[in-house]
Amino acid sequence: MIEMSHSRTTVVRRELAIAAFLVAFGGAVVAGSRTIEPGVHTDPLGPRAFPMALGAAIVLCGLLLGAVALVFRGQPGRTGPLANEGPDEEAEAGPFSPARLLGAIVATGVYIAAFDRLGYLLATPPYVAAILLIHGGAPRRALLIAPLLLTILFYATFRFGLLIPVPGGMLEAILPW
Amino acid sequence: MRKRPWGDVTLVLALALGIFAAAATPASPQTQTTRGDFPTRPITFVVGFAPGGGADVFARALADAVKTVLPQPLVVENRPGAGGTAANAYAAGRPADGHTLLFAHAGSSIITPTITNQPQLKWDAFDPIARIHAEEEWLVVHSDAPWTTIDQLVAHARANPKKVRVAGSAIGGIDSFVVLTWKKAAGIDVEYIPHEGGGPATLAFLGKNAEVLVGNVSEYVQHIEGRKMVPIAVASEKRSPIFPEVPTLKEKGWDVVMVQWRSILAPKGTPAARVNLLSEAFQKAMATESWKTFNRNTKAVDAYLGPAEFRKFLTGEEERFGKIIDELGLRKR
Amino acid sequence: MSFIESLFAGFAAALQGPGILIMVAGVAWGIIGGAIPGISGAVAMALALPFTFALDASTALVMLAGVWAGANYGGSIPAILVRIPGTPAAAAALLDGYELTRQGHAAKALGVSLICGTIGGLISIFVLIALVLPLGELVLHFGSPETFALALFGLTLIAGLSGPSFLKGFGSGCFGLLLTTVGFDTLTGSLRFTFGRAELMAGIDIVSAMVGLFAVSEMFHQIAHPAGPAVTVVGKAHTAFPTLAELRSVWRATFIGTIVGLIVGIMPGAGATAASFVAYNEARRWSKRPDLFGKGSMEGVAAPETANNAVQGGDLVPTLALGIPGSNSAAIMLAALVLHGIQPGPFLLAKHTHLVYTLFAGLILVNLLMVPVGIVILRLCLLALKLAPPVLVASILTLIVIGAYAGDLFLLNPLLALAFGVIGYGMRVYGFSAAATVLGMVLGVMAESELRRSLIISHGSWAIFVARPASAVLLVLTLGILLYPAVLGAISLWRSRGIVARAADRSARG
Repeated sequence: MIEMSHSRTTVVRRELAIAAFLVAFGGAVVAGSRTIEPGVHTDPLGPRAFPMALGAAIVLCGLLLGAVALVFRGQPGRTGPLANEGPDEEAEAGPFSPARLLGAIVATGVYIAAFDRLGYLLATPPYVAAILLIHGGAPRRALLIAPLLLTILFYATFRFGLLIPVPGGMLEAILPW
Repeated sequence: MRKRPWGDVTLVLALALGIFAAAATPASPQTQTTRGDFPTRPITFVVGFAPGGGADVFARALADAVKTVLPQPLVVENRPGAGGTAANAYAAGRPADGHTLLFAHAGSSIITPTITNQPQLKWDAFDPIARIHAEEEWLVVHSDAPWTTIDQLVAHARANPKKVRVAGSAIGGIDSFVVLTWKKAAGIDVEYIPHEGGGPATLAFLGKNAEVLVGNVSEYVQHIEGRKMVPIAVASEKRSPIFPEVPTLKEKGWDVVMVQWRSILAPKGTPAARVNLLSEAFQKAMATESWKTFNRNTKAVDAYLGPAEFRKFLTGEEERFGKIIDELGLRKR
Repeated sequence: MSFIESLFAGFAAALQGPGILIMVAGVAWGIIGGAIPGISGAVAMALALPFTFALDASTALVMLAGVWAGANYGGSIPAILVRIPGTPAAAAALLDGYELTRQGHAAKALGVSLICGTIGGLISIFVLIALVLPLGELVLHFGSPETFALALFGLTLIAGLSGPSFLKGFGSGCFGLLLTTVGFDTLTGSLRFTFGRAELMAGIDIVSAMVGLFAVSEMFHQIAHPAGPAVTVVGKAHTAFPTLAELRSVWRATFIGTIVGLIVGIMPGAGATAASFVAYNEARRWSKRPDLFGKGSMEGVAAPETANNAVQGGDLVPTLALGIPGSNSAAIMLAALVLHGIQPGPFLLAKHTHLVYTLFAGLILVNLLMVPVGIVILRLCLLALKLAPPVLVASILTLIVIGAYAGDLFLLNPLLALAFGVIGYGMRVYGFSAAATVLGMVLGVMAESELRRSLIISHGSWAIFVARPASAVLLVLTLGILLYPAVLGAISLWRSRGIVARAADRSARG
């Protein structure tokens, strides 16, 4: 995703890609807005006006961003007359690991899918363990204990403390409470 | 890297106990189970409107009234959104074992699902349990307005098209349908201003942003008593005992009869024995003192119908509204 | 009975029997409920409602008032500690609160939120008590045009949230506004952008989106950058409370927050969330150190938190004076009245004077009680920061999924949180502003529906916005805010042109 080198072409290309994305997205919104049915006529603007205007605004943003990128050719620190000052947060964050990011996203997706089917009690411990592993830096003991402890702790809090039901999933039949 | 994971773990435990202890401060309602019988755990009453609103207060009052009748409490769960149909979608996915019930009125169970073409959210995708309440829809004007009867208002509206503004709740709700059908029947062009609910509509009307307010009188009965507002018509079959001097729209020649009924549905496939048990329980609840007090204060009328009659009633309502929806050209294809 | 006598009688009634205990329980539950994302103040009150049936009417009201006040503060706890807004109204607090936590000043941020919030709440209650009836008349002058103007005014904050690129910030804000159009349109009955799915008819759940954009994206960021600075910096600094000097330094922000909260609270259609963002915006505008906002300014925590507490008094104005609730939370207070057999309406004050004054007394007491109860809960929550980073991250993600699920029990909400987590992460990487998107989502519904409603009221004329005094004032201010930097920019460009020209001149000559 991000390259740590601040070569101008990379930055310009990136900004142009973002600009193109905005134009495409805004255009899709405008197109989509035209298919909205009008419903009962009560107000003069109707349900289409707002989304269309916003879509158009996003397209405009994209075009201006593209123009700015081309005009200023990605000079570091100069994003044009419409800029505020701000530090580069990404630089201080350290090396980036796409594998970890993807792993976390996928693990969370799987957890959500499993949440309903398998039920909270079965789905949570493997998820906690997975995140601990992906994040890294957890001591061995924590890897074994934390998943179970957190699962039970949250379960107790939600189910008994707050009386908010959590899905039992596959265990629904055999849970005594 | 921390050297003492046990320290972390103990802290987490301590935190857990702390939260648990604090959270358990309001004592949990008992969950004693009646062996084998129904109900065996609290029954969820799903309401598609925000807490505090008319539907919600109705549900809570009913829950309070039925607690002496059913062995398990009725717990109100609010799922507002989409004119009440978000709750329909949720309830449809619940197991049909009688432990989930759904609040329904004409807007959320007939009108909105029809105009948005979502048949899986309509009343017939559920099992009717009982009709409980009925409230009339009223047209109310300011007490200092130049018109004092509905005839004068209509005459003014005819002479000034698009000038009379009526405030009410969202499109798809029964308020909006009263106005839309009245417009057509009386041949007048009034502007309808939809609001998020009866409360905001009343506020807008009080602020003189509208000439007419449509809704249930229970929401503003004190304003009427305080002579800030005057009811000039009611959309029912016969005149109401609450304000017997106010004419019905029907007697003026406009067939606009819309009643805000409130009822209970259950997910489709709920066993008949449980349906009947629940229906009878609600009927008994309506005889309790607490329910009678609630009716007195809100000026609502009991209108109990058991499962079979309620189903017939709903079929009739759907036909009626279906015709109106088609006449207004609102049916989504 | 004179006013003072009535109030004293109210205090006596509120304090008798287990009064204090019930108030403490209410406040504690409110803080905890508010701290759980997915449980807003109104939901926490609704959950407590069944427990009030056994109490008499005034005690029930006072307990609910405690839950309400507590939730206003409680939402800021996870917002400040782990970037998860516990209630939508606490979203503005995380802009600076989380930065303060990263710098090791979590307790200071939480302390400011608590104390300033209490001050705001108390002042708004005093104003309510003193002026409930005249303010009740004032409410009627705030209608759709005024609410729209306020929304527009609040949207100018986009500039402040944009970071380095205003264009991207503006785009982010537009995206947020766009998200509010998804679902059923109450003004026409049409469905927008639901792609045939019934779950989307209710729109995109703002809490799930906020949690995704702020918290999930942050967790992904931490996972993706394992060597970066972790959020938990263990040390004494974390538990150091704000000093008196520090509290005094945020007096201006607190003052602004109170005023904004009061006004926005009285306005129907605008709630605590809008108030907190408008207060943040104004505090930044009038601050001596605007550059600190977004990087850990205590004023940036004080203002929104004061505002969302001060809304309580404003919300009760139409509720008590007219019988029409000013917000969902106020609606529950009315529901409690109805369920206790009392008719709300303009006669409430006259017919049930003792009840109302007991409520007034109770409101003062619960806002005061917030401080000790809040401190206890605060200390417990600070313990969470002592968890090792991987465990903390795993806990937060798990809690988010459960919370999203529990709040609605649709599979949709946890998926939304995840999706917005990915979107939020992407926005961060490419220079967009998740905060601007959230602002758009918060103000979008207000902006669009009140605009359209205003046009029905005005029979299609746009002049209504300037014809009505309050909305005209707000619009002029908004315009001024928008044009001000452009004007300044133009002036400085003009001046620098002159300098460059003279320099070029000199070098050419010389």
